[in-house]
Amino acid sequence: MLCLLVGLFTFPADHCVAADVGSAPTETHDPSAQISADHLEFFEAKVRPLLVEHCYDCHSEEAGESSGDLMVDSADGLRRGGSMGPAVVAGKPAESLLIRAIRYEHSDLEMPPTGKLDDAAIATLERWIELGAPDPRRAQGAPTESVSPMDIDPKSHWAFNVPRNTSRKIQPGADDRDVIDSIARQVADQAGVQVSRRCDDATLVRRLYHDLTGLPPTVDQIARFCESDRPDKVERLADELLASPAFAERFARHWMDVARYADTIGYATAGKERRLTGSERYRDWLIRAFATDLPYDEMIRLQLAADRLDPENERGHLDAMGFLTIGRRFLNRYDTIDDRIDVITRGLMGMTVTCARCHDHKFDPIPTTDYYSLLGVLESSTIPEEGASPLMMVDKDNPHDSKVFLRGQPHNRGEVAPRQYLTALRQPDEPRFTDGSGRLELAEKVASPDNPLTSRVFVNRIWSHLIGRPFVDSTSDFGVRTETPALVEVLDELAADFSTDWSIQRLIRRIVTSRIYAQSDQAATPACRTADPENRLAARGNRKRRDFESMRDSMLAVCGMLDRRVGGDPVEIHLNTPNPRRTLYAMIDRQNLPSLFRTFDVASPDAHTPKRYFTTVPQQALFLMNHPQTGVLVSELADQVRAETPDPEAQIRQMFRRVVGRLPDPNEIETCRTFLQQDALQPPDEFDPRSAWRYGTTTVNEESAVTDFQPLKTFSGSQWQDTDEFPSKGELSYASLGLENGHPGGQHAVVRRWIAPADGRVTISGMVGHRNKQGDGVELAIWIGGERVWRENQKSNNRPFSRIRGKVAAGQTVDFVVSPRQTPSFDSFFLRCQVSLRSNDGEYFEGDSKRDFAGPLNEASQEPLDRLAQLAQVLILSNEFLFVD
Amino acid sequence: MMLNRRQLLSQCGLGIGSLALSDLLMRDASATELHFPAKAKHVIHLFMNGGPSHVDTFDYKPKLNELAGKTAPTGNLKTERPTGHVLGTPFKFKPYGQAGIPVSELFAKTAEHIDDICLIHSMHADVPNHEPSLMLMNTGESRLVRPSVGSWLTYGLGSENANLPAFVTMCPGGYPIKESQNWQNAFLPGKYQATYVDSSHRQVDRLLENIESDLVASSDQRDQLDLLAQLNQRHAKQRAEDERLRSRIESFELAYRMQSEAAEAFDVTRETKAVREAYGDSDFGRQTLIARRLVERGVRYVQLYTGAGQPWDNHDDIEPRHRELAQKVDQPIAALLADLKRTGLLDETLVLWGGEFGRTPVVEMPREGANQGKMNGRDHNHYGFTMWMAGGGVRGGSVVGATDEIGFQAVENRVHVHDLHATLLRLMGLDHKRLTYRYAGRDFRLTDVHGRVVDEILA
Repeated sequence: MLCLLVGLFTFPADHCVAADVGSAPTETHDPSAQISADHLEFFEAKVRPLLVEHCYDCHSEEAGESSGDLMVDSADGLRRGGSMGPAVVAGKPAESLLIRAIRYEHSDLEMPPTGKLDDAAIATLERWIELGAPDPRRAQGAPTESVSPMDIDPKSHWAFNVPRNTSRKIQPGADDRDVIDSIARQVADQAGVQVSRRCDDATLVRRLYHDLTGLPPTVDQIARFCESDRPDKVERLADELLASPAFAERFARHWMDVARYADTIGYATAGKERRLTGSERYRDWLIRAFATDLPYDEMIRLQLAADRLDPENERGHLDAMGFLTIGRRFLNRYDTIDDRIDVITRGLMGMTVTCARCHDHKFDPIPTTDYYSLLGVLESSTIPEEGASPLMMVDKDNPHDSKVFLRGQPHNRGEVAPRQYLTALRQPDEPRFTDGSGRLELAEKVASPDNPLTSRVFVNRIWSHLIGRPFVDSTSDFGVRTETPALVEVLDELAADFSTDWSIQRLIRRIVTSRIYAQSDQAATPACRTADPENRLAARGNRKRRDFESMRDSMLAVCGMLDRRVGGDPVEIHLNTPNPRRTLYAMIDRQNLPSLFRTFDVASPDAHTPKRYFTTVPQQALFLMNHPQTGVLVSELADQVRAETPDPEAQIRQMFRRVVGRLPDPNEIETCRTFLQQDALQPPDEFDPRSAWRYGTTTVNEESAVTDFQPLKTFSGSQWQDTDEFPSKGELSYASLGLENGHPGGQHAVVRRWIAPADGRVTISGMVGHRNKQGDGVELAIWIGGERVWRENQKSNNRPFSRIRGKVAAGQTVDFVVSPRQTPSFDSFFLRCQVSLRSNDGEYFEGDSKRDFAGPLNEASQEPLDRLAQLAQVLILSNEFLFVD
Repeated sequence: MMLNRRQLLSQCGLGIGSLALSDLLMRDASATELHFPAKAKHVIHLFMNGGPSHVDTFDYKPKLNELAGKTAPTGNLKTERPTGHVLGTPFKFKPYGQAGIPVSELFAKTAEHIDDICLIHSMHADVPNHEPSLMLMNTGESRLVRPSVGSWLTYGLGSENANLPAFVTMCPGGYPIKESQNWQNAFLPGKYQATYVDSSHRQVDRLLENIESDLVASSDQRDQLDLLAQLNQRHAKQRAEDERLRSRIESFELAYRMQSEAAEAFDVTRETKAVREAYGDSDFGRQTLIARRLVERGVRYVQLYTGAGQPWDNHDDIEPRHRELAQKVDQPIAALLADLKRTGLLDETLVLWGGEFGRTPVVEMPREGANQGKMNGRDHNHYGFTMWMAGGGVRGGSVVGATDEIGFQAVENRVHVHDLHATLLRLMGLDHKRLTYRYAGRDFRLTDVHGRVVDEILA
């Protein structure tokens, strides 16, 4: 342990902290420190074995038992005692319950229950208590004193005090560029850790592009930066990147993790629409906010109370309220409110208030009444039937306080919890909320520069994105169990500065132009790495792994397919055909998140996500190796490179430049040349299930037959439709077929057609649904060849169909025809179909409308990869592509 | 003090180090410390979704037919829908095994294995509705988003075979209701969610995503990975040791092996004709056989649903519908038990059977919009129902708890779903109070603040 208080400097008292430099948990107060070596040995040799053998089974953390509420596996546990009182009174064996119990003096308290200890053992324990019961054991995870968390003085916890700028003078190091550099350097020095040198320009420029845009720089962009000798080239590049839409998109996605963004409401019973109307408007509002550097305090106020600040949506801010309304809609409304309390308190302030739903918080000074104060605020707010934004909330006409729900049970009401701010952060004489629901007042409180948590929590998140590890590991829990971080002074300096103008871009610029940011990820010496393996002191850079969005966007970018348009409707990105939009535009179905997202650790949309996991599992490799999307991308890249030059060596060079932004060394050229000299082998020619499907329309007719099949002409990236414009101006209008959805168009039914690849018998199953209360529903007819085998109307309901059987000949069709009924409106439908064909030769061919759904299949998507494309794939699979130094 | 791996994991919370460690855990589960000696290493959960009627299957109530058509002596407890008089069972029961435990004709083949089975007659849950009951059974929490049992187990125990997913859910023809929430990882990392398999498919590339490459021939892919390894080695050599670089290099080799191993594991045609016929060539039969092939290869948790939606939810026509469903599952389940027993795998595999709840001993009243005019079905019943366990560490040929005289409510040695979970974890060597995960300021457990180990179930 280290103390930073060094004579040379004046230092605010609350900054005198222990820097935790090891990986083992360290403690600010170590009971063993005050025990003499003799006593310690006596305890370890004589006392501990007795306690372990005779008592731990029923009174220890390890056994998970605390009979009579007593734990004897820590000094505090014994002193605090159980339901009968303290077990040990130091120095006074006669007054210690433990001794009374082991002496078997009273029949109501005889321990251990299996039989009395021998006299020597009893004498040992008596002697130990006479000595003052020296005991080095600390409780794990338990509070060290029996003080109720409700009695904790908030001012005693570092994070509950308003952060202040560094007031002391620090001698800057030669290459320090900011006071935070000097603070960090000094903290590292104190720990005997030397800070790393600056990384090279080529590394720095990649780092900047990755952190600020999520995309890799092109070779030209790298060269431009490396060749510049301007002293302010980092600042200039930072400014350039901060001004790019890609920056706003990247940081919008970071915030979408905080805001548990999704495009569906979650589970809904059959026949109910799940799409969260207008969800994308919140995402696009975020992009605008980051692009225009909307001050963070204003972002908070708008996300919580735009209905009061821009009620007519004149400035387009009502969509900000998606922050509250975009969460899962639970069947129980109090669970929906709970999710909203959680996103406000953990997301903005690092306070785990929802722990206080059923009882006072176990560790933090957050009484249950605090939870119900906020519940009152949110229960007094509602989503209007018709508002200027589908995401907005407004105050109810009759705002009211909630009573506490005892043990979280709504039918069991306790005292009234006035709508007001959190106890730990409230002044004793502070008035309650009185303005409507109190949401605006709450927003003002959260967004105040006097709030000790808001700026710290946000700065900690931004720091983590840019530096690669946060100051405070529990990024959404700054409660009293959260130890003071090693670099608290840097955190506080940044937070205090940030809260003067709340400019996110200025904060980011300050960090990325610092010495800390530009450090090499190589430790100065091996000993420095050993001294601080987790890099808590930020004495070196952190290698970052691209998150899913950055990985996929970078793949699209280096293959020349990235569509840089900003905003708009969500798109499906897990289809067989790659969608060129950036990944933050992906449709997020929180109920059934495609496994692709989970495989790559995308933030769970179920609740506020403090930080991403980065796991390594073979399913990630399998996607990159085998998914048709990858095939299309690398073929495209190979074609482009081939078009530039026919020379294999030049192609290799070009491929390296495009994918990893550098030229290959002679060894690599040689290895790759050898690789390219082989011919690609033909993979076994298998039935491509994607190729069996057609997407088209037919004129509506009495029989619901396919009389004039016309393929839909355009693939939007997510669905088949008539023209680029949707709905089209032509008579097909809304006619469309998507992954699991579709819509007939005017007098045209839409048809999913499956073409049998062999003679045999088909078995059909699936589900059709119509999820709108309005309109008169749709009709599904299923045809096997010329025979109609199923026909049914659907309105506001789901209907599975199964085991429909029939005979087909190769080339014959199985058609799923969805027609409008009387009215052509509100006809969006859900359709999933599976066709299983057992050929007369006993071979199986299986069609699955969801698994097989794809855009146009050109040669690139059906031909096996040639060697150049295989090389492109290898480079995309490489660690060099995925990791950023 | 030296910390063992698990302590490190729990103490690091979600530090950077801990994830690398949990990666190790996935590879090398045998080295982890259990809370208790494990009786079972794998679980096969036969989920009879929709809620099978216990009084028509495993909970024999002679009074039921005596009182048929009369008012229930216990009174009608409130369930989802209105109910009426006692409805007798149309199915015949007869005693099986050494203890002569009665089982209905619906599960006559399964009943041949009664000496390996422990029937828990006193199960109870919280509410008579599908969604919350499915969530309770699968995650221990009716409403909020929590990790599923399989996620907890794979988080706690890892996998024994890195070439296969550790947690697999199969359901033919689509999802059960509540869909993928039934096997969700919630706040645990994404890799702890089940791999969902639509077992109505027969081809392995349809069963598992990305398991085959249509892009390149297998030998070309080998060349690619060799080249990749060279490039990656060069990259790693220029940098200080970094566990993340190393494990990603390994992950490609794992993936390469997974392609063949998983393909083989899911390919039931590699079984003899006799074995395939024993399970039957139905969707449920095939997925049950796949389940055996998976646990044989070290997969930790396999969950099998009867079918999409809620097939056992027979509010009407219970006789023909239950008969049809049982016919579909009885033979494969019996085949599974026989097969596990024959290969010795039953000793280390826990087989769990049941729905999210049972059904009422009284008839459901007809109602507009449902069972029009029909009075031949049963409503949901969470007050009392039967589940059974067999295999690893379970006291076979035994019965735990009892419902009242007509099977409406568990009355003796009541076993809540939390208790079932606590017992299941215990059999797997885990203490339900100590298998925790720190999230949002709290240490979460599968059993929250509930659960007791039901000793009578343990051998």
